[in-house]
Amino acid sequence: MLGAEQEIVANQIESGQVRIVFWPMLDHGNASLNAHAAADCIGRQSADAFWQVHDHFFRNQRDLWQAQRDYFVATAIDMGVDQFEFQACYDSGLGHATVTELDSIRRGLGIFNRPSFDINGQLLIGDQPYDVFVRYFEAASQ
Amino acid sequence: MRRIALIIILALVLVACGPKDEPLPTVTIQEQPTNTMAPETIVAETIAEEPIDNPTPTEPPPTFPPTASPEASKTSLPVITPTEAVVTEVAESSPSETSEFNGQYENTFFRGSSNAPITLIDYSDFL
Repeated sequence: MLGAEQEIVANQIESGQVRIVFWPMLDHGNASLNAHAAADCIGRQSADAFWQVHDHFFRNQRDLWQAQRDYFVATAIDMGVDQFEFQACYDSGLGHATVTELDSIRRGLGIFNRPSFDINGQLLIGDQPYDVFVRYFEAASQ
Repeated sequence: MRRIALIIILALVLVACGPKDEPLPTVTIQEQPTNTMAPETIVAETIAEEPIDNPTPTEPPPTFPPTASPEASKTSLPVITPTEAVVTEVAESSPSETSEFNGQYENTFFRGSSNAPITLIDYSDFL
């Protein structure tokens, strides 16, 4: 999600009303797996860096199809995390194993549509405008 | 001449009678094919059993749809939230600690305050 997310961040996240939990869906083979693993390895050093790379990857989706290890290492450096710590995580397969497990849990929950959102237990499927999220937030807060 | 002719006839009769004894070995030869056929039918039976076993490995996919119902996800997901709420309550009880903004929870990353009353789980792929 990126479309409505910036508005949600500005209005609901900053005010402390909502928090967003990102759950990886590995729907495009190794390209998905490597990108999410890289994000996970960056996030292990800094949650703020995770959200930076999260936004960066969504804005540069085309790069990810052909992205190799060097691309992710360069991205990790750009995000301000330690290069060698990132490489150790990425090369060990720790990030890959973590996101694979999360994806497996997601499948077990029966969530197959991309994107899908869970708002305090209410499932919302597909890309939605900001207004729809606001309605769900209001329903969840009552 | 008649004697010679009789001798020749007798010889022919003896020759003619000789081959009549040979069918006995041919009977045993005919039995051999029946013996070799028996193992073939056994093999055929074992081959026929294999396709019956094959459908079972392909059965798991049909078992997914029942577990893949949206209701299952709705019931399972709130389980995460209560456990997080417990952590939040503990954090609130200690005045020195403040809520975490942008953090990690059970291998996932959250954006916002750990005390936020509404949790939006975003299932997405970067690609």
